[in-house]
Amino acid sequence: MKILRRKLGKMPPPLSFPATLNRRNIYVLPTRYGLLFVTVLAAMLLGALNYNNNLGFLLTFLLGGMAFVSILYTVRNLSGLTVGSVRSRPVFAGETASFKFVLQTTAPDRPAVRFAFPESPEIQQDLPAGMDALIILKEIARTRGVFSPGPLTISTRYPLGIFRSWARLNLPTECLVYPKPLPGPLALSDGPSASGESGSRPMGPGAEDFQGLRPYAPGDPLQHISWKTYSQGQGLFTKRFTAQRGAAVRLEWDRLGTKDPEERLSRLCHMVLDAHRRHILYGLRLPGVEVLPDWGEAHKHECLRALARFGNAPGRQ
Amino acid sequence: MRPDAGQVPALIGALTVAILPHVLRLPLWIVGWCAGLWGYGALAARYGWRRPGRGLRTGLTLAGIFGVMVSFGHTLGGEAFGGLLAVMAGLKPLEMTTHRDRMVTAFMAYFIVITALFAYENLAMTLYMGLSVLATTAVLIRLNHPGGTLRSHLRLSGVIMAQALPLTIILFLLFPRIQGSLWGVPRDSQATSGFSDTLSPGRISRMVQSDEIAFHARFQEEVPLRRQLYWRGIVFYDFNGRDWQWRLRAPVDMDDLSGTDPATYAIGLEPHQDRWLFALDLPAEAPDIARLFPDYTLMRRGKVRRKIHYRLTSLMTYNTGPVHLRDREAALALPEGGNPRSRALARRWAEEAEGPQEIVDAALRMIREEQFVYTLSPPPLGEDVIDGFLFDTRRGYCEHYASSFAFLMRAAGVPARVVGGYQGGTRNRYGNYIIVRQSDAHAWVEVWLEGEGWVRTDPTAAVAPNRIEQGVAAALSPGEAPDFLSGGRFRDAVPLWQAIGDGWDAVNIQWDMWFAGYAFEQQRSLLQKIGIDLRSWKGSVGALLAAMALIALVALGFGLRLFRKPSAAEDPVREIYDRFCRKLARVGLSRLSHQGPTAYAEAIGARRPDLEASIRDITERYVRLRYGAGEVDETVLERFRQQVRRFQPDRRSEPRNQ
Repeated sequence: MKILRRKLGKMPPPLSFPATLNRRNIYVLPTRYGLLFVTVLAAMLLGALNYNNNLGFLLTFLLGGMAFVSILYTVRNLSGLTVGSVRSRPVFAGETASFKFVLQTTAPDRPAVRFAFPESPEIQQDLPAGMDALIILKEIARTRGVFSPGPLTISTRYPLGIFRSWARLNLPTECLVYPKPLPGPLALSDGPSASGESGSRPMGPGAEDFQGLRPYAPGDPLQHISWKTYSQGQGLFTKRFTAQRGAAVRLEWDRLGTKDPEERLSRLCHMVLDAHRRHILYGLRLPGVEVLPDWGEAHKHECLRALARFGNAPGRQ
Repeated sequence: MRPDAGQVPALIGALTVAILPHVLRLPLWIVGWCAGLWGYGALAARYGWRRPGRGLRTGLTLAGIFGVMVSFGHTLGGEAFGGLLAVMAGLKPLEMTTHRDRMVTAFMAYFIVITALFAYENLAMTLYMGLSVLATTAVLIRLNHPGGTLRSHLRLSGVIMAQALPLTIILFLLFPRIQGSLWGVPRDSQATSGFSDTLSPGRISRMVQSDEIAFHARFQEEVPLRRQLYWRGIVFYDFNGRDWQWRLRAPVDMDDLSGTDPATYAIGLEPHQDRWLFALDLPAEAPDIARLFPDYTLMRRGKVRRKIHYRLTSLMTYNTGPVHLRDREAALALPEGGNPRSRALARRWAEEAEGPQEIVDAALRMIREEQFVYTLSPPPLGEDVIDGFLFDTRRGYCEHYASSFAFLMRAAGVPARVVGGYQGGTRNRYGNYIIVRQSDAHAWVEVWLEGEGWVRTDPTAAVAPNRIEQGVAAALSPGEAPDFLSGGRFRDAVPLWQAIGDGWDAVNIQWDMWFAGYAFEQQRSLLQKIGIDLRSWKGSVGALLAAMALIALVALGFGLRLFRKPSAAEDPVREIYDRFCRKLARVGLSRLSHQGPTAYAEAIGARRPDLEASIRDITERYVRLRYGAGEVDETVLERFRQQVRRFQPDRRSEPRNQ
């Protein structure tokens, strides 16, 4: 039993999407109810033997046969399922990461299929035949970096609950985890044109800096939207301004008081979010990595990604 | 609603179905107990009432166990066990809060089903067992698939049962049976209305009141005439002036039996809690399960506590040959005094007659010609029962006639003995079956005549020939026979119903012979037919291997079905389209469950303008192939396949803001 568990517990070979469940990766074993069921059958068999009761034999063998047939149903309930893809949005450390799997189901219907990561609660879902299903698994991402929740276990006890079949798929399931934001004083580059330690001065959208229009992207500040062109029916555009070079701030790794690298990253993360909220033109400089000053939603994520991936970003927590 | 709200009533339903056959056997309070607790459990689940706490549950459990002990005494027989199981099942719905509780309850329902099978082994119960397994399995499926409909669960339950049938049959036929039992069958307190080892006046007339089946017999060829159907059970030698006593007699060398007209038949004997087996006059040899005694009765080693089956060959015309001296003495013995008038009459016959046959005839003539009445309710007899019956009351049932006749014979010096058993039976119109009921109980006499051996002589035939020719109802005066015999039964009143009843009996007997009667002997002869001899160890191993090979074959068949590629060969168009969808899914453009092909094409076309043209092309072709009229042309199909093969969408990075 121990050997079996070790064999089953070891990491399955890595797979890529789409991964289909078949006889090579589906295992099946009785559940504890299965063992109880066998005990009940054994008692029935003894009774039938003692009373020489053929009806008792018939019932015992019928139930035994049904248990046997149910193994095939349990395996068939998984066989042929295909995990097509997974998607996850980056989260901050300590938040719950959601993994959205798309499953393709061939006939027949797959009732009561369970999905779980090693450390997440199981979710159970019925998968109708011939349709794609969306499975969302959630797990808390505790540390910054690339979070991999471990192999996905797809299992089922359908139909009788006395056998469980399962497959553990070692799929490239990853979620980028940004550092947990940590408030603190701003750490800016001390370039000559820097606006000093009080660099958090809001960058008002000076009309004299207006440069042109670009198509609207979600996240652009409302006050930058060109309502004039919109009212003319030309679509939604965002006004672009050229901030003076000297107005850009650079968030610096080296200028943080703390020594702990993770704490530094958390501080920088907070600064990025703060700068983004205040519409400051900002850049980020880490050892070996530099993000040039810019602003907007995409820029924020670029900076956060740089923070998340910084150094030998820890894989699993 | 709680998630288990729909499961608890379903479980209670399965338990109800399982326990229903027990209702007549269980004490009334247990029936009420289950009904009350289950009713409460179902309503509590429906309306979210509080369930009783642990203390109350423990109290109820103890009260239930106490009740079972009071009702059944402290011996744990089959009935008491069934009662205990029912009491526990009654409590179960009060504590079904976890999946584990519910699973255990479903298993409990299966177990209740099997206890019903031990109590009633007949065709109706077999069919009911099927129903009960169907219901319980459907509930078990429901427990593991809370989202589905009860209807789909019932259907799947039926399908699984049907698929398990081949394996069931193989196991049923090949699983080794034993002779005897493992730890003995506990005695149940069933009232028996069969024969006992004492034949006293009134005993048989009491048995006539019972409609219960004693046994059924299936003849290999024609059923003999009704007047030949004397089913022999017990032979009584010892008379104490009032009762005839059976006593185990040391076996002696068997008489030289000779005879003709063999009849071969199989009997299914209902349990009667005694050791006798019944056989048509006169069994030529013993079946495997019993011994044949010198008085041509069959006895088992143990009492018949469950239905048993045996095959016999009887000789309808026979001569038992000379009588052993010891038997002859016992067949002439009479108590010291009493019944002077009968003795005097017998002595006179002995003096006047030429031989024993004339004595027999004289006695039969007396019963036939004088005012004797065949009745179920004879007047009470005085001290000398034989004298009182023969000369005063002259009213009695077959035991009175047999007893008096045997007394007269012995007093006249003719060896005589009383035989208890059944006479006649109900012929079934659909086959060579006879059903013998307790109401067919009968007693007659055998006298020993030089050169002829023991000869059956039935004084009842002299007073009431109809009893032998047509049965009890025809022989008794109107109003005297029990309702079920005099046509008062619903079944006998309507001809169609009568036919259905006969048909049901015939099916039941057939079932009983083939199914319930399948035991060690039948298994051995079945295996012998396919060349396996169970008596040697090689044969046993062979049987085991054959069973395993068969099971492996069935399993292999299932396995091949299981891993067959799903419907790929049947629908190539669909398969190609699926491949197309998989390619898109790989670049993050999966088809959602609610999207039809066209909607899907539009949705991804909007997101990926670069792919729009080819996607629309493929989708249109797919829709035409799949939903268009006419056969799918192989070249068109090939073009479609090529098109999908060439379709290679690239993964474009997702929009940043995702």
